[in-house]
Amino acid sequence: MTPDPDENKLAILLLCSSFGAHDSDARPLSVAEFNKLEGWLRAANLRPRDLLDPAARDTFLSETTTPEHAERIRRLSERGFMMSHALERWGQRGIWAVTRAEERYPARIRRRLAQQAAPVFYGVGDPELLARPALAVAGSRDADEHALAYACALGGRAADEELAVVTGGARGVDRAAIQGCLERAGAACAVLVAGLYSAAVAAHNREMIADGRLALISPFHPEAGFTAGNAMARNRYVYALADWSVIVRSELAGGTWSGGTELLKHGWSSLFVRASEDEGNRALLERGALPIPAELDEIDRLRTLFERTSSARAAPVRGHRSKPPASGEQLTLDS
Amino acid sequence: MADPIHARALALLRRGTGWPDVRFRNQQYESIEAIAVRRARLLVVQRTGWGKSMVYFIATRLLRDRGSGPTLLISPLLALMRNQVEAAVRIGLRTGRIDSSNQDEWADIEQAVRDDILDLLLVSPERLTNPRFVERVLQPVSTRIGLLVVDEAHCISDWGHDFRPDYQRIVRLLRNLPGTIPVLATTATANDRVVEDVARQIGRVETVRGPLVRSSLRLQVIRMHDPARRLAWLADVLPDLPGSGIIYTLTKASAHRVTDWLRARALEVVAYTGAMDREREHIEQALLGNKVKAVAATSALGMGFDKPDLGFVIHFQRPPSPVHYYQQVGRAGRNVERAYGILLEGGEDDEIAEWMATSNELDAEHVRQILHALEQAEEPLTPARIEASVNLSRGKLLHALRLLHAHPTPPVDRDGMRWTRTIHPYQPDLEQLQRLRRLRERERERMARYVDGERCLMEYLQRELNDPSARACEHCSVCVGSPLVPVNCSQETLAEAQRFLRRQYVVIEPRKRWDVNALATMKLEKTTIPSEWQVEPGRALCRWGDPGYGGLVRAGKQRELRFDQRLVRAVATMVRVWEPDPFPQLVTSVPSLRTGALVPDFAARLARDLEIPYLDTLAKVRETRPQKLMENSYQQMRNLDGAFAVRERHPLARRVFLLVDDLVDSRWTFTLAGALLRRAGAAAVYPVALASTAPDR
Repeated sequence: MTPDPDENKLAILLLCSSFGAHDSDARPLSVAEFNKLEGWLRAANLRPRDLLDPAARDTFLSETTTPEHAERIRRLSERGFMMSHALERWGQRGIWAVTRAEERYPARIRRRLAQQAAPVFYGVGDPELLARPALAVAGSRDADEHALAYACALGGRAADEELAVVTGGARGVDRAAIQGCLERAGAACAVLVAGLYSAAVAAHNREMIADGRLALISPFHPEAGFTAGNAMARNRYVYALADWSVIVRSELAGGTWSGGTELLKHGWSSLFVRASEDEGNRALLERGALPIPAELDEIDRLRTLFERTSSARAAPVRGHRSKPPASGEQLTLDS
Repeated sequence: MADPIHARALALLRRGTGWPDVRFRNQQYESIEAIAVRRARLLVVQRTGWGKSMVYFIATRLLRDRGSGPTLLISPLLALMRNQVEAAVRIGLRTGRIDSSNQDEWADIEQAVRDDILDLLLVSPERLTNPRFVERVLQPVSTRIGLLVVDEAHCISDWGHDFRPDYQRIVRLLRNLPGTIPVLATTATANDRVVEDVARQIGRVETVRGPLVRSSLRLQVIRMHDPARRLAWLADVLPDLPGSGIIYTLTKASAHRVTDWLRARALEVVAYTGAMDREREHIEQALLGNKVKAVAATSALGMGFDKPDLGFVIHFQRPPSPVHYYQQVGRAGRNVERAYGILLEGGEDDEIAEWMATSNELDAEHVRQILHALEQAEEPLTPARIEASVNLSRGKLLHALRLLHAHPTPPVDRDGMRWTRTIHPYQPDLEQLQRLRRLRERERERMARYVDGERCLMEYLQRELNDPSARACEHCSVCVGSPLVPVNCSQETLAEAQRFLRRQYVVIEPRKRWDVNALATMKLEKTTIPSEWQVEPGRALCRWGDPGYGGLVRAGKQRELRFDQRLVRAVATMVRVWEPDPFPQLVTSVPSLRTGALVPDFAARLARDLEIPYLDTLAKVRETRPQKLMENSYQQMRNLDGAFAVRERHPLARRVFLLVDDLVDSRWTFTLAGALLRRAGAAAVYPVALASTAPDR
C-alpha cells in the first residue's frame, strides 16, 4: 500500500518552496512570514494541512488576513500538481525535502535556530550524517596555499577522530576541508547556496553520496540560483550543524567575517579561529573567538583541544548532548 | 431529485450529448459526484463508450464553477476525438493540447491559463518526463491544476498487457499529490489482477467497475496458417462487411503489406502504425468519417480511439492476450446493431509476439555498458556519445535509457538532451523479468484456447477479464454453430495473393552521411558523403522471413549454401520491373571471406539472366566480424573501415553497376563498397540484395 504522504509536510512545501524556474508568480513565504502564519493557524486550532482544503482555507484566511495576502497564500497552495511533479523530478536524483513538521528535520538546526530555521531543507545523501559529532570549517574563497593546506589537513584530522566535517561547499577552504576529510575516509556535509540539482549527479560527488559519506543539503530549493543574500543566510546553518567551528582564514569583511561575528553573537557552536597573522582572524579572536594553533602538528588531538578550551573559556554553548530537548521542540507541527 | 448538483450535472449531460432526455448511465453521476464534490480519487473501469469523458467534462465544469484551476488530462491520445471536442464545447469547456508538434500554440495556451479561461489541458505521458518540455511548457500551465485525469490507467500495471514505463512516473507523482486534488483514473480493459494492482499503486482510490459485454458484436475465429490464403480471404470478404473497420496486425510490416495488397485489389485501405506521426490524426478522421473501408493498423491505433459505428475488427494475426484482444475487438459495434469481430490465426503469431516482447526487455550486459559509460564520463553524455562505447542501436539505446529512467530509483537521469548517472545503485529485477515472461506465456495460452472455440467466444473473453456478468452471447460462431462470415476464398484471388507476396520488393535508400572518426582509413573530412561517391536507391527482393521468398533465401544461406535458381529469376524480374535508369551495364558483388562463392556465384548467374557481363571488382582485404553483430552505425562503420579494396586491373570509368549482396541491414556495406567503386570511376552503383533484415519501415 502506498503510504499516505504527510499532508502537513506538503502544505509547508506549498507555502514555502519554489518548484522551478517557471513557478507561479506568487512568492513563497519567507521564514518570518511562515512563522507568522503558523501562529495564526495555532491560534485558530488549525494545522498547515488545513490550508489544502479550499473551503477551509478561504474561510480561515478571510477571517485572518488581508485579501492580498490571502490571495497569495491561495495561489501558493494551489500548486499541488506542480509540487508533486517537482518532488518526483528531484527524487529522480535522490533529492529529498524535509520540513519542520517532520521528525527527520535536522535536530541541531531545529534546536539551535528555533524560529530562525528554514521551514524546508532539501538534500541528497544520508540525513543521518547530520546527527554525528561535527566540525564546521569555514574560510574565505580566496585563501592562500597555506590556508588551503591547513583546511585540508584539518578535514583529515577530523576524519581520523570521527568528526563529520560541515562546510558551505564553496571553493577554497570549504572544498579543501571536505576533500581532506573524504580522502581519509571521513564523512562530510556541505550546505549549498545553489545548484543542488546538478551537484546531486556531478561526477565528483556521486560515489561519495552513494557510499553515505557525503551529504549535500540546502535551505534553498534545488534549482535555485546563487544570490549573495542566500550565501549570507546559509552560514548560520553550517555553524548550527556543528559542535565546534573553525575559521581558517577571514578577512575583515565578507562572508566568513559576517558569519563568524554572527556565530559569536548567537553561540550556536563554539568558534575557534586559527591563530594566524591574518587581520580578520586577529579581530575575531579579539572579539572572543577561541584560538586554534596556526600549525596543526602542535595539536595532539582535536577533540581534547575543543572540549578543554571551550569548557574553560567560553560562555556555555548549547551543545546537543549536554541539554535535554529544548524549547525548539514546541515548534514541531506534529502534536 | 432535489439535489442541485445532480440537477446541474444532468443539465450539463443533456447539453453535452445534445439529447434532451438522456439520463446518466449506471454509476456515471456517482463518479462525477465523487470527484467534484468529495474530491476523491477514483478508478473507473468501464467499456469504451460508457461515457468516461463525460464524467471528467462535467466534473471539470462543476469544479471550475466553484473556482478550481483547470483539469490536466494525461493521455496517450493524440487529440480529443471530434465528438468529444463538440461535447466539451457544448458544456462550455475550453480545451487545449500541448505537445511537441504544436509549439506555435504554446504561448496562446499559456496566456489562456493565465487568464483562467482554459478549462482542460491534454498532455501525453511521455511529455511529462521531458525536462525541456516540463520547464518551458508544463510548469507555466500547471500552477493551479484542479483535477488530474489519467487515461488508460491499466498502463500503470506491469501485470497488464500494456505496461508503459512512463506511467510509473505518474504513479510517483500521485504519491505526493495533496489529497484535496481529485484524481480520476480510467481504463476500459483490465482484469481483476490489473485493477487491484493499479488501485494499489495509485493509493487511496475508490474503484467503479461496470460490465464489459457488447451485445451487437458477433465474434468468429478462423484458422488459416497460409498468409497468402489470409490475404485472399480478406480481399474476398472485405467488400461484404458492414461499414468500415480495422484490420489489426502484429507488426508494422504486416500492416503495410496488407494495405498494399488490398489497395492493389482496389479496396480503400490505409496503413496506420506508431512510426507514422503526422498522418495518424488524419487517418483516424478518415476512418471516423467512413472515408475508407478499413485501416490496417498495429496496436498503435487504439488508445482512446472511439468510433461508435465501427462495423468490424479483423485480426490478421492472433494478439498476445485476451485483454489485448478484447480491447481491440471491443471497439466495434458500440452504436450499430451488428458488427463483426473476426480473428484469423496464422502460424507465425507466437514467434512474432515473443520476438516483440523479448526485444523490449532490458539486456543486463547492455545496461552494464551504458551505466559504465555514464560513470566514466565527467559530464552528461548525448546518446551519440554513449553509442561510441556501447554496441547498441540508437532505438534500443533510447529504449533502454527510458526503461532505466522509469525505475523507481532511476540509475540515470536526463539533463536536457544528455544523460547522466545518478547516485542510485542499479540491480536488474530478475524476478520481475521471470514473472513477466511467465505471464506472457500464460496469456498466449489463454488466447490460443480462445481460438479453439470450445465455448461461447464472448463469454470466454468476459471470463478472462473477470466480468461477473459473463454468459453465452448467442450470436458468435460458436453459439450459432456455423461461420457468420464465409471461411473460404476463391482460387483466382489466392493465386493473385501468392504472386503479390512474391513481389514484396524493399527499397534500399542510399545513406547520405557517415562518421569520419569511425572510418579512419578513408581519411575523410566531411560527415556528408559526397554525391559523386553515393550509391543510387537499390532494391531487396523481400524481407528476411517474409512469406514469399523468405524461406528460399534462408534455405540458400543456411542449408544449401547456394541460392536457388528461382531466386535468380525473381531478382532478374525485379530488376526489369524496377527499370533503373540508366540501366546497369555490369553486375558485381560484395566479397566475403566467410561465405566465399555464395554471393559471387549468385551474382554471376543473375548477370547471365540479365544478359550483361559479371565482373569481380572488389576484394575483401581483411576479415571483419559479422555485420549483424554490430548494433549501431558507429560500430558498423568501424567494423568495415578498410575492409574492401577495388581490384586494380578493372577500368570502371563511367560504367553503371548492379552491386549484389545477399542480405542488407544497416546499408553500410553497400554504402562503403559503393563509395569505393564510385571513387574508382563508376558512374552509378545500384545496390541489390536478396533480403532485407532491417526493421520494419
